[in-house]
Amino acid sequence: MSQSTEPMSQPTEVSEEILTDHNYDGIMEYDNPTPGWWHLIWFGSIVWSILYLMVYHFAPIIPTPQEKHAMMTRDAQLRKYGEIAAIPLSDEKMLMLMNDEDWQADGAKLYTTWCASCHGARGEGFQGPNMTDDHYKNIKKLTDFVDVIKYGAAGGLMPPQEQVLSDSKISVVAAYMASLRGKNLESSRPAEGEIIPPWPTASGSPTDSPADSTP
Amino acid sequence: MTTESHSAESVETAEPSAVTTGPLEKFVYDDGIVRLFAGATVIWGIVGMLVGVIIALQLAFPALNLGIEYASFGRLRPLHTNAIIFAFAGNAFFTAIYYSTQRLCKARMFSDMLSKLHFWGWQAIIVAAALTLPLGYTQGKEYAELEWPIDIAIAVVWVGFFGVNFFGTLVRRRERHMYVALWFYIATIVTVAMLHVFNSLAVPAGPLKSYSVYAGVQDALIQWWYGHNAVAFFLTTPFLGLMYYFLPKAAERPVFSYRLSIIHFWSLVFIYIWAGPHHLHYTALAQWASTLGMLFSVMLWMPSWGGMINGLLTLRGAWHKVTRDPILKFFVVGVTFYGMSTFEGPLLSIKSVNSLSHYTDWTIAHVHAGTLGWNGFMTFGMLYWLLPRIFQTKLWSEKLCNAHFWIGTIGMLLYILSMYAAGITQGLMWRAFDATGSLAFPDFVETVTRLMPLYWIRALGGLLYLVGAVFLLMNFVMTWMSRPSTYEEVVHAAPALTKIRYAKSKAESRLHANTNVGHSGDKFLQGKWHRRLEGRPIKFMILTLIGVAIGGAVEAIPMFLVKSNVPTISTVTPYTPLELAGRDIYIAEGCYNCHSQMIRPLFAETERYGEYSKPGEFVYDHPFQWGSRRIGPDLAREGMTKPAPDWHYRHFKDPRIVNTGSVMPAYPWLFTKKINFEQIQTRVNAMAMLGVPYGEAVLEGNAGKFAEAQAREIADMIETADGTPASETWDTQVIALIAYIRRLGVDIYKTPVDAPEGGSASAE
Repeated sequence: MSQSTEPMSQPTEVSEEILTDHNYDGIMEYDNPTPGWWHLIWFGSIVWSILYLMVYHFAPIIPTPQEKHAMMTRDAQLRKYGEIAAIPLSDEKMLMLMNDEDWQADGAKLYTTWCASCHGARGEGFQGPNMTDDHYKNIKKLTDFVDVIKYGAAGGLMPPQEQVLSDSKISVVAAYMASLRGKNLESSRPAEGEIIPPWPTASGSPTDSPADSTP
Repeated sequence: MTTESHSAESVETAEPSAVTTGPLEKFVYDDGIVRLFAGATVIWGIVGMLVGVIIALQLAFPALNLGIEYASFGRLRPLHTNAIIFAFAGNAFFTAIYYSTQRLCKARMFSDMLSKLHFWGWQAIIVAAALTLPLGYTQGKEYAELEWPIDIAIAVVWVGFFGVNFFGTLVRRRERHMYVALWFYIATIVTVAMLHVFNSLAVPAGPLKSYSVYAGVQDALIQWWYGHNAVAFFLTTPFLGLMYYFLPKAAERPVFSYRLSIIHFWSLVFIYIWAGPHHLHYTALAQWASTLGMLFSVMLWMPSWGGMINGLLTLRGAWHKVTRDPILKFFVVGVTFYGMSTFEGPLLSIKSVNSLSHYTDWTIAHVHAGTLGWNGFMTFGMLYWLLPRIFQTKLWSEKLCNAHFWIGTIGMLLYILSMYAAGITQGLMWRAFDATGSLAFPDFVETVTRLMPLYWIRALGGLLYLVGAVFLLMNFVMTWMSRPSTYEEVVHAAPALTKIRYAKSKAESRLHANTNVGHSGDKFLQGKWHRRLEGRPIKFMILTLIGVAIGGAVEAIPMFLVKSNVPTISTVTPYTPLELAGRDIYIAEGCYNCHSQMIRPLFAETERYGEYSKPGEFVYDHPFQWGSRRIGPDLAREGMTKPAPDWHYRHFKDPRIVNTGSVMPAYPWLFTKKINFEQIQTRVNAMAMLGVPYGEAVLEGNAGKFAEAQAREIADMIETADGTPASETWDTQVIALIAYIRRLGVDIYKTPVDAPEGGSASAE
């Protein structure tokens, strides 16, 4: 069986159009002009592209993505951590962060992003030690959290984060981790390190578990 | 044997005048080759779609790889993409080309032998792909995964068999001018050859292993120049050619506009090639290249729509047929999806849109609108039109054909809509902040588990589409069964072409008083020169090649020659031999199919992953592994945040121990398969050939020795941490992979030997 190779008849309803004399295996072609709206959008897209190039690459008025990123990071740092950035690291600062709901919430988020994969979703420990009991390997006092996060521990198994996280973020997440103490969650790991004295309270004297007040 | 009825028509249509006609010649079209390609299209289509459904289900239900290495997502996903693109779509447009070219040229294919070599060579390549990809032999570049011996075979079959056969047919044609479908076929053949050759350049490091000659940023640029234009010249131009032949045939209407054909053909082939870098927005690629990619994509919108307009407006006066004829329904939906996805493409190429869509399922939705809607439906329409003609009988069931159309359409819509929802959901979750300015979804896995219902819908949609394809198979087989015992071979006749052409057909300016420029401009716009060009296939091919070469050259040459595009970082050093072996495993397992290694300078991104990636970090990455989709988190700084080997050891064994919501497959085989330490020397030496400064590691025996030492060190660390005896683990593949992961993203933080200003950068 072979297909029809009859030249196509010109449809009556569009008969004012001009048919070219082309015929390829029965396929014919109109000589219709290209649609006006099509030209308009196409030329428009070309003009727009030239303008875009001028504005973004030949006029120094729009920051590069890298510059924009640096500005946003600076702004966010100021807006969010401006009030604590200047406070020198101390037990008082840690306690303040531990007792503030907002800082704890922020710490919890940072913990989920940066720490949970090793220390467990809730601090119960996995590859890294349990954070919810009273045993600690490298921590004797509250501010040691900051040092361990910043400079690492266990021969690099706990990686130094000083080049990854800002000082403010480190102190916030350190305070969150300190506040996990006393939850005593079930862990896949044995208790590690030594039992250390309880954290000081805001007034300076030790208390059992300030962590109870955290969300 | 019916000669007369056809010869009459042939003589009548020869143009422009009797001057050009030679003696009448008789010929028979080769439909046997068309039948072969058509059958291969259906079979590979079903295979490719089936693998697609399987990997869709694996995402919804990760245990579905059954712990078999050959069935893991990272290995099957390239099989799916390669099968659909090169086996299904490839065979589909070969079917179209072999059927239509003969008729448009009034000539049998140049050589039956080349036709057969092309067919069987291509099928052998597909079989080789289907064997090597699940076995983990891959170059690690998307849609260019096949290893170097197969790449060479592709070049030979494409250029030596297909190309020669096609252009030979053009040269021997009996039709003076080439119809627009042939222009698109020409563009397909020359451009795919160019893309394939340049992107596949690699240094072999074994019979089925090689390293791309390009590294990092440059490799990324070349890869997406290839990747994007594989879409353009493998999935678009040949299907436009298919449309230009089969749609007017099925509708029995003249094509809407010849002039539009000319303009949209040349603008499409010229502009498309520039658009590749839009796959690399906000990456370490230089801004100027990224901008060019975006702008040319935007300018490409209307040239692409030229094809849609010519397709849909050809149906004017035939819309009443569309309601009855399932073939036209397939074509209408196919062309409509082409229009949709060529609008969406420019949209996604706009940087700010791309910052949301990149790495998400929005891209998956976009490509499936193209492949399921445009490539799939155009192929189905063509096949249903062809079946009665090539098998010289009636289509077995028109009802089943209709059912295919509807089930395919519904499946496609479910697929695409669920993936849009998934893509936008995940993209917005990644960048969402809570009131205090913290990431709203700090756990990456949360942004994946949220998509599960959508993944189920996607799998259902894909399944429905596959069922439609099975309907096609049934119809195909049943129609084939009712074929005549011997096919009737229609003898056609047409006058041979003579040499004399267009002596007096030069254009005259229609303007009265004007400058010379004005007159030449008017002559140009009359397009008679193009009509002449349509009679010169080789000239046409060369012009097309020049057209498609420009964009790539303008983007690639500065990227290689101008140093500021890739500023080096003094602390970035080559991977150690063991890390290199680990990287090979990373590539073989197809980790790049789910993990990116490219943190963009976007605030939400650096808050989640750390400092954004710099061009200088990738200078030893042959090939680059930036990835294009994040089903898992970015790994560019993994070495900074998770250096503990025992964590990775347990995670590879069972990712759900670490995070119950993870969809990553377990990799039990990495714990039993041994590292091939002797082989590492070959790998290191191949890298050294590419200019990677390996120092004394290139000396015979050193690479293996260094690798062993590092492997023992890592195994000891695991033993210390969780007691797994180092003697049992040190030579297993997982150790090499861990070595590589531990290295990711750490180099820029090392102390430089000749300390520059203030260190390269922590986030704040």
